[in-house]
Amino acid sequence: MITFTIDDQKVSAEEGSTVFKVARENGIEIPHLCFHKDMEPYGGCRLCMVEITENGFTRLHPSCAFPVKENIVVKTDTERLRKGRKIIAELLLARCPDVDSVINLAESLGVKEARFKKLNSNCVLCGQCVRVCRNVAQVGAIDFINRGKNRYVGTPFDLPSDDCIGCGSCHYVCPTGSMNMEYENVLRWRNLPGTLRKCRYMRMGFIPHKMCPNNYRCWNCELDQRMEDLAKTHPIFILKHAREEEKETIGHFEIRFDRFYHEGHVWMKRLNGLMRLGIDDFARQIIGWVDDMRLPSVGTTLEPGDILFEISGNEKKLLFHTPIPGEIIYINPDILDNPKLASMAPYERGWILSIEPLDILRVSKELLSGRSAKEWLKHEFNEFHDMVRQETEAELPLDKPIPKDFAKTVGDDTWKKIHKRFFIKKRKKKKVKLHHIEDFQ
Amino acid sequence: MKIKNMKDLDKVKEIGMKSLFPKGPQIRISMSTCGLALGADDLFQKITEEKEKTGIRISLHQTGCSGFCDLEPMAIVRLPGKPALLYTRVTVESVEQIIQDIQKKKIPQKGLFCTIGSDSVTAMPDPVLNEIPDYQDVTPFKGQHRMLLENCGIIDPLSVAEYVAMAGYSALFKALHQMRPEEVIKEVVESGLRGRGGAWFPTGFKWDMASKSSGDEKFVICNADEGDPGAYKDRTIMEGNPLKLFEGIVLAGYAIGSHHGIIYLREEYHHTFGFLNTAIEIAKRFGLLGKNILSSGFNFSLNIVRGGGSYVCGEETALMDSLEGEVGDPRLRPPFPIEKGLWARPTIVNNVETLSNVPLIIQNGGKWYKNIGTEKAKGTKILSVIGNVKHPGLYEVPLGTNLKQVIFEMAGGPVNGKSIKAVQVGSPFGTFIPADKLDVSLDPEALREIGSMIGSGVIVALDQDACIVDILHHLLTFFVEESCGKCVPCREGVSRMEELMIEIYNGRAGMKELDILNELGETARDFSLCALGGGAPAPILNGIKDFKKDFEAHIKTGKCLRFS
Repeated sequence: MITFTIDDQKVSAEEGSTVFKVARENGIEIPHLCFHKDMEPYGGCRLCMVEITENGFTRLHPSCAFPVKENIVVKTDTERLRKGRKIIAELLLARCPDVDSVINLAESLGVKEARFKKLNSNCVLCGQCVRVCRNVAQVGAIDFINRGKNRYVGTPFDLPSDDCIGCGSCHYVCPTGSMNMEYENVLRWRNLPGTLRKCRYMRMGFIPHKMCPNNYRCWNCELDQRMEDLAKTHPIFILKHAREEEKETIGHFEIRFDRFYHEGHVWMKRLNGLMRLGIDDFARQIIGWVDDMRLPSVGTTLEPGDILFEISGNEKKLLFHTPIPGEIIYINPDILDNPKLASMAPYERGWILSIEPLDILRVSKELLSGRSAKEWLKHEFNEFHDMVRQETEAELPLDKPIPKDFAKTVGDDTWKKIHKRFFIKKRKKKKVKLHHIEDFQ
Repeated sequence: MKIKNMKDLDKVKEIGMKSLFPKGPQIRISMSTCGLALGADDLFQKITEEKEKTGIRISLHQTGCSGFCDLEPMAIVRLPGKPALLYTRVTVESVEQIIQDIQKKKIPQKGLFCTIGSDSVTAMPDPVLNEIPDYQDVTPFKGQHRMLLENCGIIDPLSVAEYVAMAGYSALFKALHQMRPEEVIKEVVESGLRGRGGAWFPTGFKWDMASKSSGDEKFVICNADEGDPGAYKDRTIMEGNPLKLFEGIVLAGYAIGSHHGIIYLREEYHHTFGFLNTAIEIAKRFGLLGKNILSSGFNFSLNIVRGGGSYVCGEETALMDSLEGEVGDPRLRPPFPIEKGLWARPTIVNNVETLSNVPLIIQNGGKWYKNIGTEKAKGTKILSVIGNVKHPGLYEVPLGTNLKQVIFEMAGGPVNGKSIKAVQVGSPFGTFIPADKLDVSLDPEALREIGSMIGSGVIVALDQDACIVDILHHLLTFFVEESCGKCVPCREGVSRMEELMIEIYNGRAGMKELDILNELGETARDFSLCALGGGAPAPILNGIKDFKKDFEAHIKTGKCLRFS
């Protein structure tokens, strides 16, 4: 527990919390606009700035992002802060003079009118819609366009979005009510024929299949009502993608909870109807460093058990099984440019390829996620270290990542054993043609 | 050939010495961006044509720029037995005469500016030369302390041999073979080197923290975004002595335990991009980059990424976002880059000039470096002096040099008999110092005391005809254009300041508007997310205070002071 002072009040907090949250827990409400309790802080509105004295120095910090520290002295309501907040509110009022939430915010800070030319916008650029679409819904259909005072929120090239799933979370989090993406797309979807009218909960990933029977009048829909009652917030937040608990370290292997895993140490994640794949941290630490790869060509159809790709590094190779039946649709161009990415960011930019899944239900039981993935990784961690102890008679540390050159120093026999036990478990008869990276250029 | 040991280094040095001081005549042409823009390509071509026509044997080389771009195209001519001669504003028409003179062993006269190192040559007395001043005694080179720019404009920037002949790579060799990473950091800490990009953060301290951060990868980023208007010192180093910069980057990597370096280069430096890539290939071929550098077992890869034309991407966290493929918006800190930087790995971001100091520090020791500069700010600073002075250009001086000396003695003072009205130090965020307060030492502490700052070293001199309101408005349009738009105080506040400044300029506003400017400025200064919004108000608010007459003229008449 960390103890510090807010407004002459001694408070205690859990490590990792922020000054804003702790203030709220203790009955102190700090003005804010771009803060959302279920998302990472943005720090753009600057209303939540507080004076923090640390080691004798006093500075202004955004309380929504400042991690609590022992013995800091926080002041949330000084003359300087009040003056600054008034100016910020006045600037927002000049930008959005007709927006109720902005008018109310300004009034609460003592600002009735703005001394500047009115911009008549209805967006405060708080970024909440962008953040929820990108980090929570994991779609990224909207983002900021342009820089500075010409910035606005929109879709790539201002074209109607093919990526929007109509979840409406952008509209839900928008403080001004101006975010209209959902409605604009709904208008287009009403022109779609029957089977293409996917329910927004199917697009969000909650249910496998449902066609909208209500002509996209979601506010009239029983399912929508049930989901909102369950969630007590917008259902998208149940997906927990943007929360801090999104990943965990088992021993020294990192696991991310926003995706599926296969026992061959490949992860999978839904993205726009395709499954994106990469190698997990376990595979990454064992190979240490990825120099080269051999990949299947686009269009190849594979069955579970077929070899999907080969990774080489540190003078060793690893083969990986296909976890699901499907067709190779797309190879990550960044990985073709720089195969090293697979070892530098295996869960992010180092993803390898996308598969269109065919009949995923058939194998869905073998896909691990959440708690089952955690148990499985714990098991793999213990088995790996047992094997290393037996085969090499050396002990690798249990709390640090595997040394980078492990694959180079380990003997060929031991490598074969590791490969067989953890990566390639069954050998199918079908030979899949893998190509070197140069063949893709 | 790969340089593997001291013997190889000495061999290369010998080649370099022969190349720099050949037996026969030699011409060197400055072919940086500035020289090329003024016709250095044509000059080079004409000389090769004349060589062929006359059959004369002259060695011909390219060099970088020495920082005085309005004297380009520059050439250095070396005749056997005579000191090197510097020529400025050389034209294609004068080439024929120059070649003829060299054939007759005469000194070409047109454009002769100075000798370089007259007392280093034991030569026969030459009456012509006695009239010509030496480099060290002639404005604008007089009084400078050129350590970082020592080789710029003299050596062939792409020649490893010539750089090694000028003691290049002795520092890296020493560090990789004889020093541990902690010892390298210790020297940099002892030297007192501080970041030259504008933040003046202690470099050794940053490296020490990064070396102690845990992460599977660490990155060294060289910030070559150089966005401050008027700054071109980094370009001059990159086009004049890129190998020195590379040496500094590899030293940084060795110190903190990183094997990957990235130079983030401003998109507008088109020529520099191609040039640096060529330099990297050459360095790799000599074993100075890539695997097993100088046969030490240390690997370090370096590549260049271009920016997209955004000033705010010179801010280190926005720069990292830009490298990751995002839009360059500054990040929240904490976490700091030395813990979680590029791709969430420990990262150090250092300016080109900062990194170029490191080989000198390792070669000569931190103790030696400490002797230059002031108590808290050590070493030299490359100042970019621009505006209404006789000799605008790059001045490398020890920190602590007096501003008056730089403006009036070294840069020659104002032109056309006018008087200086104000000098902005640390453009674009520095304040405009009125003419009667120019007696100040150029170091971060002294300038902070008078409410100003040294920034990246851009010094703008304004003469009596300048209008402060006009200049401040110009600065505001720059800040508004370059603001990323993430935070309200900068995006809304600074753009409203610009609107108000237009009203004041046109005589449509009064004292009330000046008060609002102050309110907006104070809020932006204290509440902005990054140093763009935080620094923009300073020159404006100080300008209102120190140049009341300029503002009154516009408020009362809508015209500049010199017209009222």
